[in-house]
Amino acid sequence: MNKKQFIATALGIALAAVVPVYSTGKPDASKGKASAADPRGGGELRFGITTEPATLDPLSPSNTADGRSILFNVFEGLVKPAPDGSLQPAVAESYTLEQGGLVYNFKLRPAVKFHDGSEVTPEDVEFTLNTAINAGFNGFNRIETVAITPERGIAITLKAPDVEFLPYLTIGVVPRNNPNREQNPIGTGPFSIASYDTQRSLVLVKNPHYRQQGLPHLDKVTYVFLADSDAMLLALQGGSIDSAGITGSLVEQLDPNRFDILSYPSNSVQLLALNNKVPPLDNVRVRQAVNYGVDIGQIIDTAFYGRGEPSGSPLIPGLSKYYNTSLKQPYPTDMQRAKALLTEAGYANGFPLVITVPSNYTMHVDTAQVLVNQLGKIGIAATIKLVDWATWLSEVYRGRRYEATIISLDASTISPKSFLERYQSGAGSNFLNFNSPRYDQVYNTILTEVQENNRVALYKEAQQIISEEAAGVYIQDIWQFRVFPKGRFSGIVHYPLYVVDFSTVYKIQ
Amino acid sequence: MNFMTRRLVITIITLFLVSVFTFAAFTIIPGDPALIMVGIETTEEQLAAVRSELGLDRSLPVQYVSWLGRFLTGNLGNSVRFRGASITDLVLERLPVTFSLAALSFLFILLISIPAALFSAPREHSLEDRFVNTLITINISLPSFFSGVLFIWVFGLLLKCFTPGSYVSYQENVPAFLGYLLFPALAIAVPNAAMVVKFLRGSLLQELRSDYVRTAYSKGASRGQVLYRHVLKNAVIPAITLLGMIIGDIFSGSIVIEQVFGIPGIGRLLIASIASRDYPLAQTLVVYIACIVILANTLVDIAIQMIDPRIRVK
Repeated sequence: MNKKQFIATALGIALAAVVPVYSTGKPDASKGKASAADPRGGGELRFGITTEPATLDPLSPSNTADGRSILFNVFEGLVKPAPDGSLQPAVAESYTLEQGGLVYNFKLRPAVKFHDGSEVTPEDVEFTLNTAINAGFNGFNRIETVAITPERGIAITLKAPDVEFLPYLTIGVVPRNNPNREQNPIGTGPFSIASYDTQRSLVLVKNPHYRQQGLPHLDKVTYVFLADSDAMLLALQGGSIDSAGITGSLVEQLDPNRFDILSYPSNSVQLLALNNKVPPLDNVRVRQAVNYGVDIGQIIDTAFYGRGEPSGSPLIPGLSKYYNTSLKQPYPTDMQRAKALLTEAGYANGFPLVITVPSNYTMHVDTAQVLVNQLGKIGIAATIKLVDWATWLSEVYRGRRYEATIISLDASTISPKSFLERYQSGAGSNFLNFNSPRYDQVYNTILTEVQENNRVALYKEAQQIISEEAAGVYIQDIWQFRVFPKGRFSGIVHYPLYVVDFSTVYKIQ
Repeated sequence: MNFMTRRLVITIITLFLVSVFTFAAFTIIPGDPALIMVGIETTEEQLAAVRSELGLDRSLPVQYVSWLGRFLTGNLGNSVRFRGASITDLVLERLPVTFSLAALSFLFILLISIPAALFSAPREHSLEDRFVNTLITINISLPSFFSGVLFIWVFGLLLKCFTPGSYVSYQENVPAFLGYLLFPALAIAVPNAAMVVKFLRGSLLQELRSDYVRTAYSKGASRGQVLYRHVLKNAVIPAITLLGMIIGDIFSGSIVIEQVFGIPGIGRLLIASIASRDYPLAQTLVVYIACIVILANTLVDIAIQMIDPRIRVK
């Protein structure tokens, strides 16, 4: 029996909340302590964003990435991702794993309140989890039963042991007696939603009942919805928004004397995905040759102004515990070797290759242009086919009717599993048609391995297999940038997840 | 059948065809609204659940008839993309925005083109006329999305006449709302106005060479009298026909301009609905826009008849 206890102290959370990221701004954030008497309180932040949430209901499985990022500030689960990538108890106070990961026992934190001031009960948690099961949430089909246990306890019994189940329990806890979660979203997070005006703005206001003393600092956060990244740039320059998350090419156009520009890895893996089922890409030698033909350094230099974190793994380097560091550059650029491999595979004269690229992502289109040039040098006549996002989703991702494509894959939950599960031969999300019995075997062992160290080793082995069999060309974790008007905001905390946490942000007085 | 009844019948048939074509277009282009909603991380069951929730598991004709039924009864239900909002609310909230933008653009077109044409036509081949002609050529070849970006840069960022992206709703403050629409309206008006000037100038020149102009002068009429009382009235009829056609251009221009200036109007909603394959919403919007364009053209026909009773529109 494996028993693990995780109790978050106020200190732990306070420390985590002020871990600074590479900041070009004033260094005062790093010294900060989340004091109770808060001199940083108040004010509004206007944040520009180009996509809207599909829903405001955390129990609706279909949301956009930006929608999830907004709801991160409004809802909290039994556990919640921490800036270092671990999971901290949130609505729960502590938890234990029993029977090798078959039963998860939670104790609820006392006196956690919803936005409307009512207290969270075990019945609310039970309702939340059951609703998620019925809604077909990813991972929730593994739950056998949810039961209320004495002293504000919740016991979740799985159908089979799974020691990696915890990340799914970040799903937002909602009150059971709220009939209209879409129009009237109520959670326990640091902010509540005051208004949502389609294609204009969504306003968050401070939750006075928030369980963490002193947070959030800001009174109000307004998300402003903009048509595209050009409109966002203009709004930043004109001052109708304070802040936004932008890509490298836009950063070049901003005046560094007017803006604090913070950079982070975007926590997504940009790759040239190859359809492992389509000849000649079904030949591992051809896929390896493509890898040797690609010069990742050149891609980052030309298409990303030198800003990117090269990675040869399907996992982001940010998940440092699990990331296989030997895969930093598994295929150093080598024309001779690439050509030799192609000759061995019977394609000495190369072959034509169509790279389908979603046109809404300028960065992927730029990458494709560099790739076409590089692949041409080893005899692969690559051409670019631009499609819109809707077409990409249905033709490339779902239909798997493509030869090669460029995309960034991110994680919906903070776990290596999120990045690696798609490579199982039978996975619905395996749009690369990657098929390796060796990989399947390793992956299945991970799910039942209770020893943490062994599991980490297995995750590294799994990455190794994907790299050796060259499922695709793993390019980089693209860098993203968050801009603020010079010297006006601080306290930004970065997560290895696609979220912006506004609870720790404050206005510099 | 009299004029109005005929017009009405033609309008209804046109709108019906427009909705059928829109629906057909959506069935041809790839893309699945359910998939766009659930995104990349999804399971088969989730996708199926969303499909049936949206009614996408039904056959295409059934989906079309169901939309048509809901459209005719005025009960369109909720948008696919913006699930919390009803289609009727989304459209009704935005109609005044786009309508104001279009009306302002139209006003600007008239205010620019008529004086410019009246100024340049009697001065044919002069330096002033050449100057106006050059401006026309530049502006006709300037697409409105480019003039939009140019205006934002010059008037918004350099001269700071307005703050890009600081749109104010008409429900909050009408003068501020109209103030923000000034530059976007101008951006739509400039290329269209240039077209009208070119047309009106040509038509004025032709009339100025007519016999009745000489007669008028010989009777002792001044240049102003000839120009305003005789020539303009005759020259303006073809220009009005052009103005009718330009109304369509104003709406297509506003689709782009709303994106550039961040105005939450019909155009921006239409683009979002197409990108997310939100059929019911996109179809409703296309039918509305078609309706407005047809209505505008009918008004133009009536206006022409009033100006020149010799013309009988059948």
